[in-house]
Amino acid sequence: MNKLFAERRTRRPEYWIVLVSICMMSVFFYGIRAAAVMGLAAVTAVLTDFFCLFLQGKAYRTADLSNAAAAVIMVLMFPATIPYSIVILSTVFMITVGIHAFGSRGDYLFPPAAVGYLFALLCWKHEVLQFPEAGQPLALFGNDAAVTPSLSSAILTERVLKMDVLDLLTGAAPSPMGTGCILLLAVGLLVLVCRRCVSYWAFLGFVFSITMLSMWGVIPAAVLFSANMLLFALMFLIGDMAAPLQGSFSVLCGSLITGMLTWVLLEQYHLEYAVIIAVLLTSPVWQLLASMEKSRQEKRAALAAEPAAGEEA
Amino acid sequence: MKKTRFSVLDGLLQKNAVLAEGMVIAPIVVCCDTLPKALILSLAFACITFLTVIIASFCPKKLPYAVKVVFYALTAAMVYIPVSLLCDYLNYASIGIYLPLLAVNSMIVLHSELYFYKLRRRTMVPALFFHIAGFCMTAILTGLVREILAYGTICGRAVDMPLLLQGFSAPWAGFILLGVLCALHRTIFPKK
Repeated sequence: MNKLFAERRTRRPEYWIVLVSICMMSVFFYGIRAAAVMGLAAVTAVLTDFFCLFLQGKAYRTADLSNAAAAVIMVLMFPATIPYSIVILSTVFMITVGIHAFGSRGDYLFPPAAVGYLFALLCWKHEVLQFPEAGQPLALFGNDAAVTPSLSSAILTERVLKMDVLDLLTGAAPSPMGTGCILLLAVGLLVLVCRRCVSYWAFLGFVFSITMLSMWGVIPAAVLFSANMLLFALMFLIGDMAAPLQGSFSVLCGSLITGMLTWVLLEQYHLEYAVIIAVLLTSPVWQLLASMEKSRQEKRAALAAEPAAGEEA
Repeated sequence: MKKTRFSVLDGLLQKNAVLAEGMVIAPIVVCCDTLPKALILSLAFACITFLTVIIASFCPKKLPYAVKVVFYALTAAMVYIPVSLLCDYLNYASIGIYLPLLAVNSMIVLHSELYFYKLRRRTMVPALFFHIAGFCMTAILTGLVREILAYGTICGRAVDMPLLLQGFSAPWAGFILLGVLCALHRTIFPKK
């Protein structure tokens, strides 16, 4: 099977700068608990990775630390009040099933962070979809903070945004740890697109499909993009899926399909985690596009080699 | 060619029908999310498979395989009727459509022809018994683990579980758990 991420490019420093910025913003909003959750996920990911590689008889390499980043991306989609046990179990599942079951070291069938998030959502829906108020100090242990459904849920249910725009942009709404501050996410996305960490065509296709389709829907595109983890998923999930593809047409097709499915799930089924489901369901499509691109490149290489061989003869 | 040692006990562990051969996976994945359902599934599977294979072993070997398969299925359908009545009488748990589907499981339709009917009847009966026991053991283990993890109970009685994984009642978790069991089985009994 042609694995989508088998030829992953090395991530640029800008990717890590944006990720660290989002982590710092979540610590600013939710305090030491956010840092503890992210740290626990990273440590669990490294230990699980090490154990799985040990069982396979492989050595742990520095490059394998990227799986810790996948764990951090996963917990940034959780609320800050998520119990530590859920973080550990979700991370273990993400590493063992999302990464190692399919070969590890870049051979992912689905984005690992999306796999771990879906597992947590299916097992502990209430804990994953209830969020504390931003800026509310959270204790390191114990879950006494008041939690409410997210802003995304309110938007999808009531079909209108009942919040001050400034609060929305600065992340003062109940939302997952790393997906609330729209201003930071927008700036980070712009940086990553300009620095080519996220494909321009992936960005264009995803935004275009949701914007065009929202004209037929009830919720405006601007409101959709201000919630529902869309910008976050575009940076860290869709951007990752598009990275191995070199053809602009392939990337555009994949992102259009993912965007369309995301909009359908948002508008018709009111799923605030629609983009995660869409990413998982369209992973085979990205796989297909990657394999088509690879076979096209091999044919071109074979054709280019034939005249050269003829000349030598 | 190296002669492998034959043992009637192979079907229980080493050549377990589910973990080693990958047969009859669907009922375990879908039905065995609680221990009572696993027990009923095991009882139904044991009764249907044992009686069907024994009765069908008297089918003339000279018949074409296509005809024999029809004979096996008809025999299993007839055996299914009293087994279904027994399950209704016990009224312990319901496994829905997978009860009649057990009548055409691959152990009856395929494995009997490829393996059991090549043995002498006095060897076939204990081998069949242990193959069925292997399936039942896997089903019960899967049902037990999933019920504890998903509901925090064993046969409806609460167990002190610190955290429940409610998603483990879904079929996807059955696939994952079965995959883990198969991997463990492969580690303990590596294929030569």
